[in-house]
Amino acid sequence: MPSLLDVLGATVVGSLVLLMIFTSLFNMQAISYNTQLQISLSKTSEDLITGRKIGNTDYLGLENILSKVGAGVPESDHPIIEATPNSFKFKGQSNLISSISTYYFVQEDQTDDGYPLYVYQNDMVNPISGPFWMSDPLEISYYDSNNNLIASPDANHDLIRSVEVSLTFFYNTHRPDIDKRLLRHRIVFWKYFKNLYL
Amino acid sequence: MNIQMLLVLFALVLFSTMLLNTYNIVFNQSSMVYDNLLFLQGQKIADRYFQKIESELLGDPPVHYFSKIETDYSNIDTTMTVNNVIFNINLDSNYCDSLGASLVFPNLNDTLYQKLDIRINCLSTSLDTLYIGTLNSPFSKVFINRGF
Repeated sequence: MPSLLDVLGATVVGSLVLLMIFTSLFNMQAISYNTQLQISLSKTSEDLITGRKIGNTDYLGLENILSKVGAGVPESDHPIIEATPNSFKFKGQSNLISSISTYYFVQEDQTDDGYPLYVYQNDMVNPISGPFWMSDPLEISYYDSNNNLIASPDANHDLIRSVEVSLTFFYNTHRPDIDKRLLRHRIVFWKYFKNLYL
Repeated sequence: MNIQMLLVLFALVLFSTMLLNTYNIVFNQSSMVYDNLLFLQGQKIADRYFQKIESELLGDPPVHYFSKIETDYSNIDTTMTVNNVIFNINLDSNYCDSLGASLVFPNLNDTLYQKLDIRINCLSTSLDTLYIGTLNSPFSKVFINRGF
């Protein structure tokens, strides 16, 4: 009888230790996986904001595209066409010899995958970039030359001199379906339109 | 019996120590990644100030004249809250030479270049202070007086 108790005791203790090992391994894997996803998310967001080069092709980032606001546009023609919290349409020259393009930077309607962000150039049907899926709506704030927030930017295109853009990208964590959680990466960047200051 | 039990307990203690260390390493890695995200945001804040000053010097007349940089950003402290994180920002502009070196004996004619240093800190994920641009290695940019 004492031997049987010993065996039972050892089984209980052994099971507890095994359970602890497996739970720990699972938790560590989950943390490592989420960390890896977070790195991947920040890389994706930086590629989108600052651009990247694949092979010999340069993919322009949002900062680069936004730097073209008003470039080469004559004074008689205002470069900003639309300015809302989730869309921004403007004119600008992509380089010194090109004609003036119309760029459109927009978050479209939410789907099951999230909020899609697209960038268009001239052709407003086929985007040059996107969709980039975001967990929250795009937030663009517009500021005047004194860095005051413009309450109604779409009615005050002439006042706009800079923007604050807030993007939130996401991935699903390792947890599927039940207790599904999102891993978010929110980044805010600013762009001053130098061509509008000149 | 007693010795066996003691050995089992001893093994458990050793195993727990190893487990704690492994957890600690994983959490450290994780907080390094999250701190890097704060660092990235801090860089964007510094870039905002550089862009702002550069833009305000453009135009005829400009929004601000060159001398106003030194007036406005002479060792000033400010804060900015982004994503619920408070970034403490120190901005300091001084007249310098074309390479950004401090002027040892500045005179009234040495007003062609200014170097703006930006130092930022915030609370890291491990609740320590995260320095994004330090006293000796700030984010710096040299501005030239374009004479607009």
